[in-house]
Amino acid sequence: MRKSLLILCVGSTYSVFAFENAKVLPPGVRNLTIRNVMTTINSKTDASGSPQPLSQPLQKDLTFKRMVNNEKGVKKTMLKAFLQHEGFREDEAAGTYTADMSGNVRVIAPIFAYGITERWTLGGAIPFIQSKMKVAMGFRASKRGQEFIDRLQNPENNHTESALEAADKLNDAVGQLNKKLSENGYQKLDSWSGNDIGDLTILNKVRMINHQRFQLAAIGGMVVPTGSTQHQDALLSVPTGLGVWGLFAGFSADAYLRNDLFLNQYAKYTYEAPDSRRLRLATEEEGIEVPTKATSYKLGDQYEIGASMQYEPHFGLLAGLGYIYTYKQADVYQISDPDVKSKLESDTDQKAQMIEYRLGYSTVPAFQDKMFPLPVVTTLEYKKVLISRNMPVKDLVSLDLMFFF
Amino acid sequence: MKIHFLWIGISLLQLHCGVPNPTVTKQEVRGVTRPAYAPPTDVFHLVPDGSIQGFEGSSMIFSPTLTSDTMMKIIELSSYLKSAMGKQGGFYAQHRLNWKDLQSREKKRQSEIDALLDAEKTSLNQGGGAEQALAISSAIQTEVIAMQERLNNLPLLAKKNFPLFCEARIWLMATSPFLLAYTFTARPSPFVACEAEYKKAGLLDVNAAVCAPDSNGKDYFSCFWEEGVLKSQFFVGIKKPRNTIFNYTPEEQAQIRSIYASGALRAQAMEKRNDLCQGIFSMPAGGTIPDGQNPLLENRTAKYWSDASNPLLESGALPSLFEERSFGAEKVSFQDRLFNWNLMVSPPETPFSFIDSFNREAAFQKELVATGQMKGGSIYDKSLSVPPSLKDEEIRLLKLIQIKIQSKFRDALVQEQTMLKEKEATYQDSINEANQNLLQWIEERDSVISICKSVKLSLNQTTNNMMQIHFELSPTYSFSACMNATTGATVACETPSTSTIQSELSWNPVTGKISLVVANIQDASDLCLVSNSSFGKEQFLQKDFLMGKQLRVDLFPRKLSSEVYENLELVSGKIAVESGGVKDTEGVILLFQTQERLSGAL
Repeated sequence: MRKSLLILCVGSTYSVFAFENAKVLPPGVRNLTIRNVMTTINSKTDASGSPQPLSQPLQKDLTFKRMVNNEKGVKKTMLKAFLQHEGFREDEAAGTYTADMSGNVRVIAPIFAYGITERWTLGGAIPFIQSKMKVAMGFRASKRGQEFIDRLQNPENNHTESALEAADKLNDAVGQLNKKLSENGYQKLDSWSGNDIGDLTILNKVRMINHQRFQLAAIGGMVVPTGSTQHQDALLSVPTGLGVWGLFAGFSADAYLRNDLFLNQYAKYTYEAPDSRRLRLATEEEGIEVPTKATSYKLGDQYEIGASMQYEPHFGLLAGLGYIYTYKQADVYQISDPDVKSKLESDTDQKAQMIEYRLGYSTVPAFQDKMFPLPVVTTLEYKKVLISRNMPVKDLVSLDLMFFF
Repeated sequence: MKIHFLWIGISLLQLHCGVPNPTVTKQEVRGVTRPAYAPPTDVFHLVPDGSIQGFEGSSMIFSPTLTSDTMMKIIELSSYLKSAMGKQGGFYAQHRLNWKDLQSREKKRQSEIDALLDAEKTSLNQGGGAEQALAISSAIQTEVIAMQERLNNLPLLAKKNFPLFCEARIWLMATSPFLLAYTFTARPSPFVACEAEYKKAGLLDVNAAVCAPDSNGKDYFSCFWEEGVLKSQFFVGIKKPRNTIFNYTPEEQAQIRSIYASGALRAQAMEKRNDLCQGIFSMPAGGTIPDGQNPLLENRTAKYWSDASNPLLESGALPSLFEERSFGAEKVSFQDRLFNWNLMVSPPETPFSFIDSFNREAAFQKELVATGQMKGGSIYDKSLSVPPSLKDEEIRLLKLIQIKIQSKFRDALVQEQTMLKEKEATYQDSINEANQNLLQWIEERDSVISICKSVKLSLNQTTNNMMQIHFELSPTYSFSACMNATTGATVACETPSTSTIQSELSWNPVTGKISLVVANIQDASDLCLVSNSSFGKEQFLQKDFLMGKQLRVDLFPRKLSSEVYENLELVSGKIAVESGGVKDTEGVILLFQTQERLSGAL
């Protein structure tokens, strides 16, 4: 459950590479971009690419096996035997949890860039992320659940007191779940909010080719894990960073069709360094009452390619239409238990295809013509997810404001 | 630069405003129906009469290594035991009353046989026949009572047809020459067991002038016809639930009434005798009774006689009713002896031998009444009188017949009682076998670390609404408490418990729950829970393990009456050893209502 509830790092909700180009800042020129992204998340795609409610991992059957596992000692054995004797299969459900989960996330990302030389621009970005998550839980007892109570109460068995106890537990299934979470150090499933910085990205862009009609820049840098990973004890928490060091490299090429119209193509590869941390050893069967263990792991490396057509006429309009493809390899955990390993690694590979639109206005040409006192760029960007796998289903709207000084 | 700071300020303001709270849809919670406790009165038949209800069984505490497969087998074997107990309960429920009835009848018969023997002795001493006659009369009365009892237990079909059978008896007597041959001071009975039916149907009503008593004596021919035959269903139509079946058309009915009114029946009855019975209804108006059998009557009424009497005859429900006895060369069936012969006034001179035998019987009964050796009166209250005037050899013959009847009855009793005892033994064998299987299976495994084989519970409600509960794990580990039977509040016992073990025994009159808590076990030496040499297992509960711990027993009553369990009243629940409110180990307890065995050797 813990792993399934983990929402993708919201660092991915913004990109310092939005509408890439091969341009670099002139030497000594500084640039500050304030990127503002606001989104609501309530669904994600599964391994087959079908959108599923974010609450899907919570919408689980309360199986008789789970009920047995909730008991201890002789009582557990007696319950198991009773179920067998009365013809209840362990995989049958006494009821099903229902849930609705939603989250609002805002990212304010200041991105700073500085023209070191004519060809080399150094940049850095550290987002600040505010998240609020909320979940409403419900429960629907099944016919078999009622039959289980009835069989306990049956004169032949004469377990009326146990039947009442079981009925009360089923009727308070959500409370029982929260109680179990609390007993195992988790926070209750209700709401969560958090404010934190994300991972720091340090970017180098070096222009390699600077022809009139074609420009090529190499990009590279690192991601410093300054953000927070998911809280082990808060199932609803939203991580703000991946928690590992990352190195990335790539290129960006602009091919000008006209002076004010160019085609950009870029590619980027991010290597995620191995790391270790203490994890709860959840399995598909049991996700709460599990031990923790320091575990080595390596997040999957990321690949991203994109192409866009950008129109930047001299009067300041900025418009663009682009396509992005991202792919992340599955995570790998160094753990011997196959059930735990399977649970941790399942659905960790990600893939998405997006189309992006841009509309903005730049005063830079006017500033260069001495017609405007301040070089400012304002853009509104909209990213629409076309296809994805194991990714939040969200279309992103970001408002950027860029200053040059 | 100022504008730069302005934008940074705006951004910070946005951060300050934060993100809105997400909205989610409230989710429904649809649970299960909570069960209710079974009414404790189903099992605890508490009546404030001081009677004690007892339960007996065993308890076992499971090992932590208990596996679900083992537990399932224990449940299965316990089910067999419960089933065997339930079947025995069903047997007792069905046959205990029967057994008591058998015993009561046997006792009664025994006293009658004794009376016969005494009468025989008296007869020998006095040289007279009065005592024998008295004994015979007593036997006849007994037969009447027994007959009534058996009629009450007739098969359903026989009960349904019994009213018609009784009407058939009226027809039989109304068409018998016997009715005209004698006069009576009160209306004789066609069949004494039918009197209640006649009263219900308004037949042979003694308040009607033709049926009223007459101290001078009269024949009751008119009574039997006017208040019997002509009002009977055979004549006016048999009332079925949905319609009425007519044997005679309105024209035929009118014709028969006309024949009766003409006096032709009375005039020719003696002469025609049995032909009257067979052919009366083909007699033309004002004419004579034809000889021979009348197919109309045969077809229309015989089958009802057959329907009515066959279930009685063929079922064997009334065998002794038709026991014949002889008067010289004549044979008279028992039912013929039930006509209030003591009410007979003037036995006529008649050539018919069978009537002669009636005379002799009548004379015999009358004399008994006259000499005060037997109560006279009406057959309607089943008090027969038999005048003694039989010859010695006849009396002895009668006596032998009676003894034969008694002997037959006794043989039947012995047979039935033997059968019941055998069945009882079979049920007990099944229980023993099921119990043995369970214990043996447990003892061969390491699943149980404690077993008490003789746990007892008893409840006793006194006349002052106080209930005393006694619970016994072992003879020296027993507990008693008294409480208000209605509220369950603890009260002081009239006879305080002698147990020195500190405990709390409580009872909930609503749920029927009986709880025992021994808060601090100090001496478990005699507690059946601990090591027992017969069990001899190393992993058995040790005394030290129990020291200072809490013992908790929770019991609930339940009644089972399914096909498998037939009739089973039990008390079952859990037994646990706890420390600090946490269960160290637990088990089950199963007690069955103790059954009183059928007893009393023949």
